[in-house]
Amino acid sequence: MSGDDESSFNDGGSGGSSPFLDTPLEGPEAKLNEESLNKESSVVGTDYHSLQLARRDEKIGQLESRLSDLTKEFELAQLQLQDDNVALQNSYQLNVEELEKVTADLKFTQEINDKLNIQYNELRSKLGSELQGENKDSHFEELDLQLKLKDQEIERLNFEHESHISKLGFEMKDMSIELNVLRTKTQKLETELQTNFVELKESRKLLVTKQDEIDDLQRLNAQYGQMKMTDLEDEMTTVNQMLQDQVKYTMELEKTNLEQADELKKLRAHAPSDNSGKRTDYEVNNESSEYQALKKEHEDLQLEMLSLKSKLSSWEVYMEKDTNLNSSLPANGSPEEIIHDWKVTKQENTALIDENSKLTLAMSNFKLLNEELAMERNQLLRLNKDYESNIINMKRLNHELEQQNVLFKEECKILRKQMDDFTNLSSTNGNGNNQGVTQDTQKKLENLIDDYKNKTDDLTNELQKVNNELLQATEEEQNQVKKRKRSIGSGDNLNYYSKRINELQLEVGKLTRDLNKYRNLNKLLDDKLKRLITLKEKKIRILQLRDNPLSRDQFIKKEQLQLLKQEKVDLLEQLQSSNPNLQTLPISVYQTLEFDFKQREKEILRTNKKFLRLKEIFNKKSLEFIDVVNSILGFRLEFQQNNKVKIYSCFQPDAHLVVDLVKNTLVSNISLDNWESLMSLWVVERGQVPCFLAAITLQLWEKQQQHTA
Amino acid sequence: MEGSIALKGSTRLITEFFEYSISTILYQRGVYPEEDFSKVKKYDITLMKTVDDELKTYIRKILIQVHNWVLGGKCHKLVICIIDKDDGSVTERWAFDIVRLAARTEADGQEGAVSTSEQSVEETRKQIRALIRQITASVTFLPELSNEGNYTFNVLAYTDAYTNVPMEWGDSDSKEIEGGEVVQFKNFSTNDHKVSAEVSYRF
Repeated sequence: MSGDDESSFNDGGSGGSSPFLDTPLEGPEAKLNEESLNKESSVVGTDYHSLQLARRDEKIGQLESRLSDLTKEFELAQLQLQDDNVALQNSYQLNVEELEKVTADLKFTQEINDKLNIQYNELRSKLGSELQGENKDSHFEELDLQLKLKDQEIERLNFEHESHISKLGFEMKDMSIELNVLRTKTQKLETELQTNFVELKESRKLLVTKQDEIDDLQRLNAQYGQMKMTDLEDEMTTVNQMLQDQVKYTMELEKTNLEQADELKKLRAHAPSDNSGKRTDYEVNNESSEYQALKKEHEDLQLEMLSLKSKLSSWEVYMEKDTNLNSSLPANGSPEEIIHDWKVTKQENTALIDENSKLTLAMSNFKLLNEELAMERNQLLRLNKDYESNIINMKRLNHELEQQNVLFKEECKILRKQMDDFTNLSSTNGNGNNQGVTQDTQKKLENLIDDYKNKTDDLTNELQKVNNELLQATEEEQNQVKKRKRSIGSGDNLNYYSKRINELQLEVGKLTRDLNKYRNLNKLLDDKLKRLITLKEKKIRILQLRDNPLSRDQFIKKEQLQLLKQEKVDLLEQLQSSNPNLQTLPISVYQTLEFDFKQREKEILRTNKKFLRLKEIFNKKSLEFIDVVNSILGFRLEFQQNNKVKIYSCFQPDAHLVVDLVKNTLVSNISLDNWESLMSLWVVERGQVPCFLAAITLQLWEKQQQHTA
Repeated sequence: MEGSIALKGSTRLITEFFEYSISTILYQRGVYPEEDFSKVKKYDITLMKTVDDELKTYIRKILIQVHNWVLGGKCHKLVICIIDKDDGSVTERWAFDIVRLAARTEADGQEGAVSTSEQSVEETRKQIRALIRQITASVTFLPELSNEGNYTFNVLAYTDAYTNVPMEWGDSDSKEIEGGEVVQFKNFSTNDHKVSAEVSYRF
């Protein structure tokens, strides 16, 4: 390899080929760089730190503001909670007070009850002790009196019962009034629904009529489309123009014909001599040939005119046939008018389409509204039902309460009466002492008590019966009301129909939704089917990149061929025509040469590229080789430009040997004690430089080992 | 599932295989000089990969589009033709058939079992390794390309008729070798694709 090549491989400034020179920066320069970097980094660091601090401050500020917001929110929530707490406490106190009242009432009633019981027991005991001295007659009288009182009481109770019944009746009336009000409301809603329905029907009708109109217009439009109005108009105008031109032309031709005929007649009339006759014959022949040609042309034109006329007539026939079209078109309408009409109808059509879309939108809105109303109606009906059932339940509850109240009162009264009886008996029996009489009276009293008991039982039974009757009556009434309702329903079909319409409309909505869904599904399936069909009909396409190596090569060759061909042609031309003394070349020769030159340049580039690649491979390989040598021999060689070789030992990389290949000298800065002796022994005496190097290597290794130990 | 290759991954694997197989063929058949290739370790074997920028760009351009087509199930075959520069005749034709297993299951119910069995990545790599070894070994029986350095190549992609084709791509003929010998190679498969290879040459 030449020196230039070698230098080209050297990467470092020292000119050595060793890859070790490619090691990163070391020494003072590197340190300087490091310092500068550190400085920069410190400056950048302070900036960064300040930035971080600023960001942190910002963050702290944001967090503080957020904290203040949160505390405010918390305070507000606390205040709200306090308010709620106060309200709850108030309500709780109210409830407690009510409860206390109720408990006090209960206590009071219990106390009264206890007192009464005590009195009753005392009276009983007294009665037991004092029954012996009781007067019979007085007792009977008293009992009569008590009976009368009882009768009075029963009358009073009957009265109260009647009053209660009347009260219930009033309440029933109120309820019925309320029911009537609700009915009126529902009727109103129904009427609204009906009106909506009627409106919807009307809109539907309108829509249908509009749709019909649109269909008619579309039909008309289609007819227009079939005729291709625009084309027709153009055709008509051109035909008209052509016709006019042809008519003019035929007129001119006829004129010329007539003139020629006149001339012919004149010529025939003036036929004096043979010569002139020959001449005129010749002229006549010429003219006749011209005439023939003109006649032919005339006939052609007439034929063309006829065909155009037939076209026109067919057009007219069509116009006559289509009365609608005829009526819509203006009389003797020019194409401009027809087009104007057509444009107007088109505009109308678009306007109608817009209107139709608006109406469909309105209809859909109506439908939605109707559905909503139907749902509302159903809700109202449900509410009404619930209300009625609630009323019934309330009535039952009320009735039971009343019953309990009556019973309680009855018991109270009986107890009071008994108390009175006992007091009377005790007062009357205070005087009598006869034991026999007392026994009789005791029996009688027991009987009386039994009677009382029986009577009270009867009364309670009667009350129960009356209540049951009342309940039955109310139930019957309700049934009647229901029947009436049903009868009203059957009588007035409107309610039923409105209900049914509601249901039907809801069903229609559902069905339309289903229909849309299925239509979409159908579309999807159709698409899939089409895709499947196309899959079956799949065809293969073979593709290549337009700019491929083959086409590039072929293009170059083609270009070269064309240039060569051109060159050949030009050279041949020059050879045939040009002056042999004149030394020129055609431009095609230059072009061919230029092309060749370009190709050569490209080839050179390619070879350069190849050469570079080879160089790279060589470098790579040589580096590998150097690495291997260094690792095996323990020396790193550095070839210098002045035919010197620096040898670094792997055990002391800071020191080196310098071998001058020209002067044949060996200099070193390796610090070894026996350097001189080794030198004289291996180099001077034995002439074995490798052994000398091996000895140095061994000594350096030992030194390193000692140093590390 | 662990180890299984998704459609995208499968397509990427196939495209990568094409890249290496094109490089291998061009190197083995001497279409481009040896120094235009460098050694790389792939599929646990040493392969040759082009370092020529122009060639790399060309192959990449092709494979990007082929990747898109394979991903969309539009490409069914990739063909590498080695062409004589002098007369433009096709000397060798390396064809790689791509079958999409999902599509095959749609078309043929019986072959659905292929797609259901999971193909591990390692298994696929093993198959690819075997196929590339076969391609490399094919040099022994293929006729020598006498006029060295006078060959070029072209890549053809077989696609659906209605696929979107970029402007850079154009139609071509199939460049079949009439009466040529055909040697079928091994194939490899992923969970979604099956790739088989063959070479036809003028005997």
